[in-house]
Amino acid sequence: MESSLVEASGLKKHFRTKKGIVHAVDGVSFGIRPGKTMGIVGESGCGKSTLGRVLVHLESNTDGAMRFGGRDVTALGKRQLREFRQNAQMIFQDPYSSLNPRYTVEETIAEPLFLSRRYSRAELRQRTTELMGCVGMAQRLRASYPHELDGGRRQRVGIARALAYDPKFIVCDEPVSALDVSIQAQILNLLQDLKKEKNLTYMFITHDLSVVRYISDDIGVMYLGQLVETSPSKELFKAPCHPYTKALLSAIPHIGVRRRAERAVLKGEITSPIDPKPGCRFASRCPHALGECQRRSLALEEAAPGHFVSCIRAKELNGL
Amino acid sequence: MGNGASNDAGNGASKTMRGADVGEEKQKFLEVRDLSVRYETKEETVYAVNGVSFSLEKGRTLGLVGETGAGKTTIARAILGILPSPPAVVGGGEILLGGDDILGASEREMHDIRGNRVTMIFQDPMTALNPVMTIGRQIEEVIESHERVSKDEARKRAEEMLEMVGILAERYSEYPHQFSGGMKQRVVIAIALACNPDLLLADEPTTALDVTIQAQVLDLMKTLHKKQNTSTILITHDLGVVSEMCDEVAIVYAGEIVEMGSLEDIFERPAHPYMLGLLGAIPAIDGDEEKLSPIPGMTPDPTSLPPGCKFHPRCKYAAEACKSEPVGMKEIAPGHFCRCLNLAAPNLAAREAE
Amino acid sequence: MPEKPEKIGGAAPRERAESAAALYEGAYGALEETPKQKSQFLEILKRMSYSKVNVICLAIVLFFGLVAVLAPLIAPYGYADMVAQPFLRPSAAHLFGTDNLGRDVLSRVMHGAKYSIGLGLAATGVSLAFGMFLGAIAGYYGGKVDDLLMRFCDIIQSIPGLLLNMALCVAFGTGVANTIFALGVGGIAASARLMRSSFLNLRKAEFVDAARSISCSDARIISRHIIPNAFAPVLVQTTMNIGAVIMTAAGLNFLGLGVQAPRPEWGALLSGGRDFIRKAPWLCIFPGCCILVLVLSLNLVGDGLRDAMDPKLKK
Repeated sequence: MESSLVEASGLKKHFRTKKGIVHAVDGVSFGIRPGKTMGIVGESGCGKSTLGRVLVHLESNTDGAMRFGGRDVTALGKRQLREFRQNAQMIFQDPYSSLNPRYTVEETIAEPLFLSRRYSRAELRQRTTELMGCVGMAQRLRASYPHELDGGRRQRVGIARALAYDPKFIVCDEPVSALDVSIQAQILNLLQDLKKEKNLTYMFITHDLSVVRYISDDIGVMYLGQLVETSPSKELFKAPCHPYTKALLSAIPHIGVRRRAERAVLKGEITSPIDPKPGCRFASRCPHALGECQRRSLALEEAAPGHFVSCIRAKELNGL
Repeated sequence: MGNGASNDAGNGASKTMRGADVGEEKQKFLEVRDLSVRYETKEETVYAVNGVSFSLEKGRTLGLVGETGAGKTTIARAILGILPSPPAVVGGGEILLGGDDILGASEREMHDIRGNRVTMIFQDPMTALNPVMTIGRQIEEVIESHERVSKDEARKRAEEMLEMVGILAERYSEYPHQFSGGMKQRVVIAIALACNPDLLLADEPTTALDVTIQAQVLDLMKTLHKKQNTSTILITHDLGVVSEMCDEVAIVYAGEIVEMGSLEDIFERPAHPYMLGLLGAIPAIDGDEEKLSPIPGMTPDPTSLPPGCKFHPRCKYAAEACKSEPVGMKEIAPGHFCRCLNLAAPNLAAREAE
Repeated sequence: MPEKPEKIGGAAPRERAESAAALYEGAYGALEETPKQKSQFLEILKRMSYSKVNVICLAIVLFFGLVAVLAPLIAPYGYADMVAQPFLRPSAAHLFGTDNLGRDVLSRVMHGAKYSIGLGLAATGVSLAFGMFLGAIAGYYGGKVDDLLMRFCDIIQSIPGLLLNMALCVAFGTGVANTIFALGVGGIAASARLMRSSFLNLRKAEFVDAARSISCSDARIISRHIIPNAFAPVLVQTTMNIGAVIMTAAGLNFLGLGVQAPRPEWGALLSGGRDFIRKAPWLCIFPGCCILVLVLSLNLVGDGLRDAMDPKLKK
């Protein structure tokens, strides 16, 4: 198997709050191969955004290790961090709040270039022009402020900013969930094209299963801070193994007239990530839970080649 | 010139529709005819709803589908008589509820209509509930303000409503902050249905919820719908939710209905280029498309809408005529209406796609 | 709707030409139209101008400001010049009359504007400078620093305002600089709190995360990304604060603290005229009216600014 560009092992991020310790990310391990897209799906509060933020060092991790291009990047000094960020960038969720309202489009895109201190004023302009072209923005919007742009264009500016350093790896945190359907498709296509053109590696965080299927090569399903299933994209949709993944897939309203007969509607709601009990975190909502599930600690196990599940009954339930 | 004519056309369409319905002898109790609403400020005028006509039969569910700013919520607010005025100005039209025009009703009359006959579920369950009142009391209050019942009776009814939406009656005296998002939306639904309304307006009722919770709430709404036979208008941008919940669908674009028909008409025989575009722009959960085909451009600025067909700047089938001539609703099959001049082209494309 | 088609027709040719070209503009189908380029400052001014009250108040404030600046040039006499009989009623020669020493009241009020407004601006500047600095630190770094600074603010704010001002005036003595300082300290806590809450909100904003992810330094994030966006509420607060400080300054001077005679600060004018209020009411009426009108205008301008800068309040 190809070596991974980005690798996490046992990654944890805990937040101390008044109510207890929030286990936002709790022992997550995965690898993303160069040029591939890893999708992370999960519901709100499952820690998927925190995971992305930890990966680009916007949050420090509590435990575990991260490797980037074979090098350990778990703890970085100021200079190393600067260097790391040239390679790992982030595209943010909300195009309305991810741009400084007092910066013009040009200022926003040029800021990382300016900070790198590698360009003269003329080169800055030149490079900004290139980046705007890259993301399909008309040059006449250079001097516009974000409030003059619609959501789709704002997101293009955010993408251009992330591309400015020419990174190898980009974490996309719900980049299209604030956009309308018709604009969403434009941005998804743009991301796909850029990936091919610049040989980028993505981690794509979203709650939208149809989007993640479209864009990802591999998918990880997150529940309460842990990955419960990882698998190649097609396989996950064809043969989901974890009960949570199955419930998630069957909960999506189907477009079109064909109505599906049965649906596994989950009971209850996502439990709190504060001081979780040992054992499977999904057990309290799982239709197949046994007493054992609450006790035994779990790890991802290979159910099929490249397809990992963290469920003690996975083999039995899926006839593997 | 442009708009007047297209309004007339809209009117004509609703007439034909009425004709068809009478033939089937169905009880049709909500009719919106040629509704126009604009928001006027000192700086600009937003043309939010431009001549919308549709009707709804008793017990049916109509989906109003459109993107942000298409005017869906304004239509619902107009029906409920809660347009913020100023800046909202009703430019014309009629809203007939059981034969009475409620668009011109006084605030007093509207108070009786709201809650008793028409209620609304709002998008955000977090802000729809009063944080300093117990949820039971909030349901009780609605019952008391619309029906002459004793306190005990109101409380009993409120408890029943809670159980009906799947919340234990013991939680009667808890406050909203003790409930999760999905549970809050259940409470909001209980409040909306407390007085057995004839018409329920649900404005993006599940958009703020996670998929698994959305599935729960949609199931609940379906069950309640069967039980109470409330006519429903479901406003959403999610074509999946529409497919699941609705009998009829109206596609709203730039303040106009561009296509309207039964669920089968809209999803199996879509005719309007906008609807075709939407279907092409959504990655299918079971498809293997290499590339999406997005609709180019963006929704028009509602302060200066393009002349002619509002969709023509983004439409790949747009002909010269689309750019200037007003486009009316045409009945392309019984009960299936479309606002497009160039119907042949998109249909061809649809067949190609299949 | 007779007006609508015209509007559409008017916008049509440009729109159409634009969109036709734009449809095929790029590989990603970006349909562009030129957004209106406007400076944000002009935009705010334009929005303020929709209300006549705002325009009038802004004009009044500017008028007073102009008078204060130009007082030495345009005042008929110096503020200490004894130019006529004492206690002359307002007349063509002396519009506001003369005082007990025969000084021209109009000239004194005009020179007084310089002191009153100057005091207001300078004291507000002091509270802003310190307050913003402390608030920024508390808001950006949070934690213990935040706790410490906020407790300090609690202490300042628990002392009644006028009492604090008087105590400081007595402790440091009178004089312009000391008065500015005394007035400024009282406002530090309020502006620190305001700045802190803006910072707390903005620190969580995604564009600040974005700035961090492109390796912006803390100093650059604060100066380029946070402060410019935290400025709007501060500007409103400042406008209102100037009015409040002018009032407090007048109050202090009326009590005999603060700026001393013969400097014609408005509060001092009031205080000086108090003894003759039955014999020569114009000594109090004119400076009193000036305070009233200026403070009222400043407050209304502040309200107008807030409305104009808050898109949510836009009607």
